[in-house]
Amino acid sequence: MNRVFSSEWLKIARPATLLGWMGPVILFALMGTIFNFTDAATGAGQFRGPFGVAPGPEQLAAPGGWIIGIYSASSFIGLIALAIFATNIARDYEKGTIRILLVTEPNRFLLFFGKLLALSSFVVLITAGAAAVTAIVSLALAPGENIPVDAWLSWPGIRDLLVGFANISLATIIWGLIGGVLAITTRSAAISISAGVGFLLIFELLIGQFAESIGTKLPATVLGALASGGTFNIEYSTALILSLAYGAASIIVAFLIFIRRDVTD
Amino acid sequence: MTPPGSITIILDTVKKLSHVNIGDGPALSASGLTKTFGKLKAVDGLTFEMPRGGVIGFVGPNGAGKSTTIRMLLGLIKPTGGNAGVLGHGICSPSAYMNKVGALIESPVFYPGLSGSNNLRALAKLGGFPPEQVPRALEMVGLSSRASDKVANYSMGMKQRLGIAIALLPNPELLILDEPTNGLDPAGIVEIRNLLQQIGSSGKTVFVSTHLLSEVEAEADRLVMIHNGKLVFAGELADIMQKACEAVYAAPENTADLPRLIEVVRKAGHLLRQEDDAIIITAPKEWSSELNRLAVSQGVNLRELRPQCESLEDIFLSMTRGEVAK
Repeated sequence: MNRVFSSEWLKIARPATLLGWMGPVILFALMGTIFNFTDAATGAGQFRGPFGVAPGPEQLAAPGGWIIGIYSASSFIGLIALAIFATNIARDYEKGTIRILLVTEPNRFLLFFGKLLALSSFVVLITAGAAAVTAIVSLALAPGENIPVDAWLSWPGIRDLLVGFANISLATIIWGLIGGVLAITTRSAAISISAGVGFLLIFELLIGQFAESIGTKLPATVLGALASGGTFNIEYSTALILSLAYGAASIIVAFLIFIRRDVTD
Repeated sequence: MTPPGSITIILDTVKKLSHVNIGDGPALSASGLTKTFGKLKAVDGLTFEMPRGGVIGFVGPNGAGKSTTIRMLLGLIKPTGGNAGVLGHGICSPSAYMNKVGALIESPVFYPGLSGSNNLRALAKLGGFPPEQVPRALEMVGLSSRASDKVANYSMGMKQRLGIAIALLPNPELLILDEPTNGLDPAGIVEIRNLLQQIGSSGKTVFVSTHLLSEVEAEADRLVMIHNGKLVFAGELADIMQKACEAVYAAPENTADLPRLIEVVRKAGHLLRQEDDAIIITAPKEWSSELNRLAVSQGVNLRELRPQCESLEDIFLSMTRGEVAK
């Protein structure tokens, strides 16, 4: 597994790849953070589409307030994770590099899980970068909006930062796994990304409008709740269990397809 | 007590019945190997056995089933029927033998954003091969000077060489190459041919698939020939080429004597075919002097009389004529 992991990282750890994916994630986290502080005084409680409900000054001043910005951008970050997994996996089929990978490492179990591990560590790394930017920018913006930062820099504040980072990392990995199963099924980066975005952002929103009880159990909503540490509609424990179920289902389906399917292209 | 002879018989029987985990087995073997895609039978009951060492040509026209067979040998696709073995291991467990096999499958593919050496480094890490194999493989294919260039900037020929370098990475006992000279210029073809012969003569086995029969004629020791997914020939190239020379070309000095010459040959009981103002007779070359004597006795002087060797291409066509006609 180590061999697969380090081989994948040799391909991922190129400046173009790192910056290309990390850039948009940091940008969305930055936007979420800035919007939170600018909306705190006048727009608290308002629904802002994919950026969620605007937090009020009290929420921002709470111990976990300095990481709320990344929660607000969690759907965007999740979609980027979906695209990272989908692109990496589907391109191996599109370009035919899956052949040389399987010839070099014929153990499909090791190849599959080594690749997932490498991609998961990559999305955790870029999420860490986004979390760091969120915390730093929050510290910089708070004085201008009269938000006290004492609670952030206390032990509960640091704990909330780490727990928040863990939640959003787990949610991001599961977004990625959904991208992975789509990529292995369709063997096309474009189709898997557009199918993922189409379902998770549009179709799921429509279902939620017509059947709220179902909508709160669908992946994008559940993962958003996990990333935020629970929401008004979905408790954290429910979000965690459903998210893990989606992650496990994605892994099982993708693995079964991967080990059974002939590599003919 | 079981006599030692019986043990040998038992072991031989086990070897014949199963290709699993017998490390000293043949380089390649197939027994009724079949692969169907829907209604299409891409490989149809292929049976052959090739011992280790030397260059084995795997020939057949485009669409004959060569790539499908190679993919089955490499564990990329599962056979629909039959079995095959690589280095004595069954193809159902490619992990058992793939660390001793290097392969190039059809047109080589890489990560274009990485340099040539980084492509190889990534695969060396993946396969657990020593890092020093990377410069060695690049040197063997003559790419050392361009190793740090991005693959996206490589020419078709350079990509082909890099594909062969990837196949050489594991320092393989068996090299399986699918059309390795595609895209190479004549000098590159000769270079790769020499490299393969060098590898083959070092005790390793090179299994090279091509639709260019002249290429195989120049570099192979043994041959597996397929057509429409079925085996046409498997054996020593020398054997088939020897048969190819079992013909005599004869041309009468006077074209008007051709019917009489044909009559002489037919009376002697040999098959023949006419080619312009000459005939090609199926007979060993030693029969030439007898033919000359018979022709002269019938008043036919010969302008030309020589052994006729057919090319591998002619042999292939004559062996598959029935299939082609279908």
